[in-house]
Amino acid sequence: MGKFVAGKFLQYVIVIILMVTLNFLLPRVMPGNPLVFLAGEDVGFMSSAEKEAILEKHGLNDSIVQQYGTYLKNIFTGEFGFSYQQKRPIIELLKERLPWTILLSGLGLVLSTIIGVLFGTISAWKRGTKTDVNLLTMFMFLSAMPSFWVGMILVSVFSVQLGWLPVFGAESAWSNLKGMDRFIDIVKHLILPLTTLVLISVTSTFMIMRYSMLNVLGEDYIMIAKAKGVKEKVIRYKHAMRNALLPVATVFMLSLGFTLGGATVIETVFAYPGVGRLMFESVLSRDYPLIQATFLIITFSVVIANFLADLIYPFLDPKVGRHNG
Amino acid sequence: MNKNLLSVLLIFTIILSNFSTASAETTVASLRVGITKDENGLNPYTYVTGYPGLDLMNLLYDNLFQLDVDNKPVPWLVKDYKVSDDGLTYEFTLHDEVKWHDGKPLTAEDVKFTMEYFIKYPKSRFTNPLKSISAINVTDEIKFSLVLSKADPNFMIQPLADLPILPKHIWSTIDKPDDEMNALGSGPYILEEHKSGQFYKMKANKDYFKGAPPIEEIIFPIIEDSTAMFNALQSGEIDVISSSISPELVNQFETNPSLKVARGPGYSTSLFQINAEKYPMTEKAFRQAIDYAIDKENLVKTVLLGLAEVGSPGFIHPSSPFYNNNLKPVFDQEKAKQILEDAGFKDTDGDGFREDQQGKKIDLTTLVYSNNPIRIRTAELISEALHNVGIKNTVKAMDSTTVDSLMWPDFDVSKGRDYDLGVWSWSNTMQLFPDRLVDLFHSDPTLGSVNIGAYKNPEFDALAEKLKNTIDETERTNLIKQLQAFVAEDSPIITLYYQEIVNAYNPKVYDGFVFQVGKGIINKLSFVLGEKPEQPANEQPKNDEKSAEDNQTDSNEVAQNNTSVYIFIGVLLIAVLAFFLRKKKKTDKDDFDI
Repeated sequence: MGKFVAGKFLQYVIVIILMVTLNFLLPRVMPGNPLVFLAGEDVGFMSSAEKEAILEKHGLNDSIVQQYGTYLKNIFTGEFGFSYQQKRPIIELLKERLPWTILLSGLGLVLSTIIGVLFGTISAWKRGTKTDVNLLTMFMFLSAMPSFWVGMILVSVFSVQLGWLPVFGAESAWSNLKGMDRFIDIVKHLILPLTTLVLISVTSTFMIMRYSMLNVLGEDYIMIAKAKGVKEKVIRYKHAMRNALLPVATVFMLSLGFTLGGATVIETVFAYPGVGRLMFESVLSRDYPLIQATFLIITFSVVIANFLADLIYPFLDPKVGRHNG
Repeated sequence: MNKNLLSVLLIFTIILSNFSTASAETTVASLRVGITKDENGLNPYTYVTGYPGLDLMNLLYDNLFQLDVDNKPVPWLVKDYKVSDDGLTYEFTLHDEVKWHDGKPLTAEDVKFTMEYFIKYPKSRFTNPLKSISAINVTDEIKFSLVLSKADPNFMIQPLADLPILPKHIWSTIDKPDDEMNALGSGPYILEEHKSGQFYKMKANKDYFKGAPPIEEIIFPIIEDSTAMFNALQSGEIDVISSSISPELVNQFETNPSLKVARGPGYSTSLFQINAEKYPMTEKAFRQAIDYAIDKENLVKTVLLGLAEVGSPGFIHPSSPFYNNNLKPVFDQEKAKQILEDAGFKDTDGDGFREDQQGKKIDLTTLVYSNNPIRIRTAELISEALHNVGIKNTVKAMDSTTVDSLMWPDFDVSKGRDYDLGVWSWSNTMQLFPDRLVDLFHSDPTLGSVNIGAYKNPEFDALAEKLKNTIDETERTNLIKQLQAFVAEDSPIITLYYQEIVNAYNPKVYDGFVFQVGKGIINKLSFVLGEKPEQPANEQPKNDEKSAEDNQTDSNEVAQNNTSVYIFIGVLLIAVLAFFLRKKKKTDKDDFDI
């Protein structure tokens, strides 16, 4: 077991080094540079000396190796630096954005997993029946809809036409609500983006669960359980569903890693102040430090989530532990 | 008896409630203005973009002069001023009751300090116009004079009506202005709160020297997605939006009874940029043929649904006093073909496209920003027009930074360029200062700092240099008109259109907006009491003309407003239909596999 963990750990160290390097190179390979965002729109009327001074100040005139050195140093000291465009410490930006992203994407992941698992189980259990076909049709239909479109339709029906829910933002921050009122306000703002997120992401869990459940249902021990006269509910949930959950757990852990990256499209449609939007803007404005910081967070959380999954898997599935240990 | 008492009471309440609404009109408790971007700290060194950042900053700070609705500079912090005949000495007297947000008085020393500070710590927009000042003399608390090394016809607009005055007692100790978050000024509003990516909150500066502003509290929620912004306005979550409404939605907003639409000329100039450095675009005849091939009026009609003015071939907007009205937009595809034919661009191999003068194939690429559907549509229509006259070309939409890096590498025209054609646009300052024609088209990169098409004509250069050294207003107008004629004749760019600005707001919350030409209703004047000229003349009549049509097409409008509900129902219907179809199929097939 210890050897297994150590081996995995080494693997991850290599992956992280690669990712960190790519993360540095990719933004710099993109055409264009952050000058206009550093200098403002009067950039066209600036002398070359002024432009040079700006580049100099942000260390963009250093050789690429030098820049890489500074970048590595900053990662180790946890110094993410200033955003070029927003001119504020990146740590501060992330502190403001991360809670909202965790709320929206985290809740979205949990809900879509629960819903997907439940319906996947039912669908597989009733394989070939009307219920199964209807569920399948519905989920396929959902997955075929683009997220921005679903979001826009929901907004125009429930916010603009009916006026039940707010159109944008994560809360009515300027109204200084406190306690329960603030909570209700946040929930109201959360409903539409969360619904959209769940609607578009639930299908994959559903499909995996259904497929995995179908496999399990074909196993001998289910047949035996049936032959023994075990209650249907017990077979369905205790014997079959628990075993069929393994692949879902893998996907869940993978998605968990991506959660911190936010849901860019949905955050944009609902003007939700999450990390996804921050990342998208940083790419558009060639905001190197911000691109690096946001991508690093995602990289690390994906790697960590994978690592956790590797650690947990032997406990979930005894077969894995046996092969390796 | 009791009933009578009740009715008397009722009448009283009604009267009282009327009174309360009447008094609410003079000051508005809270206004929500949707903005598209987070603008960082709102002081002159840290705001990010000219729109809406500069407008927000201008609510916190004051300039010596202020542009009025027609973009003429009028005295603001300045009470009195005198200019010497040679245009070299300016004498000013400030209003004496002006106070900073912290209660300290604003004096001539602050003005002097600001000018010196911007020279010491450059911020190009504010620093460059100050370079013509050779001496600043403070006579007393409120009197000072400026001496110029060279007369500058735009001195009143920039720096005087553009430079925000900084408080000396705060900025004198600041040596890293770019990192400074302080936004204490003397303006009509005081910044109270900023939550990154979410909102700004300003409250009225009750001690403002022009009187307390009409709005107690302004909140600027940040909504980047324009659809979300429009939705928020329609659902009443915000009261006015800073961005212009896209043409296809204008009708929907105009027919919404709870909203008011203000329209007017915009100064943002859309053009078809030609790389005059690259063959065959080096040939004047080739560029002229492109001009003749493009139907600008049709672009305005189909892409912008009429909400734009057709571009003048000389670049300058027709509402500008410097506009050369002898220049008319051209469109004649037969003539375009003739010009190409005469210049030796013939289809020699019969593939339907012209070859160049040496018989080599021509295949051009038009670059366009991928985030702008109007420009993409424009590029496509132009591409079709060029095909019609036999010029082979394709449209390539890419993200804006990439397009910039090809058309304007490092934002330095001396570093060359790598493109054929592009749909491009300049912001409204280009129209505010007609001298910008020199920056746009002079062949020397130090003078023609935004000549991104590398246009070169020695005669134009000579005239442009002459303009730089001319102060006399009539002669300047004359020169600017001649410059436009060169642009029209040589076609280094094809001016396509000036898109109209269409703003929408909820008049029940606040109706004191004024439309600044080329800018729209989000400007300082809209938020300061006592600066309320009548609404622009072009706004009311347009609505009246429309109302006759509206009555006939009422049912259509209602249908349009409910489109989303219908789409929603449509989706449900499809789902139900799918459900039934599946059900039927099931009878043939018992087992359903995936």
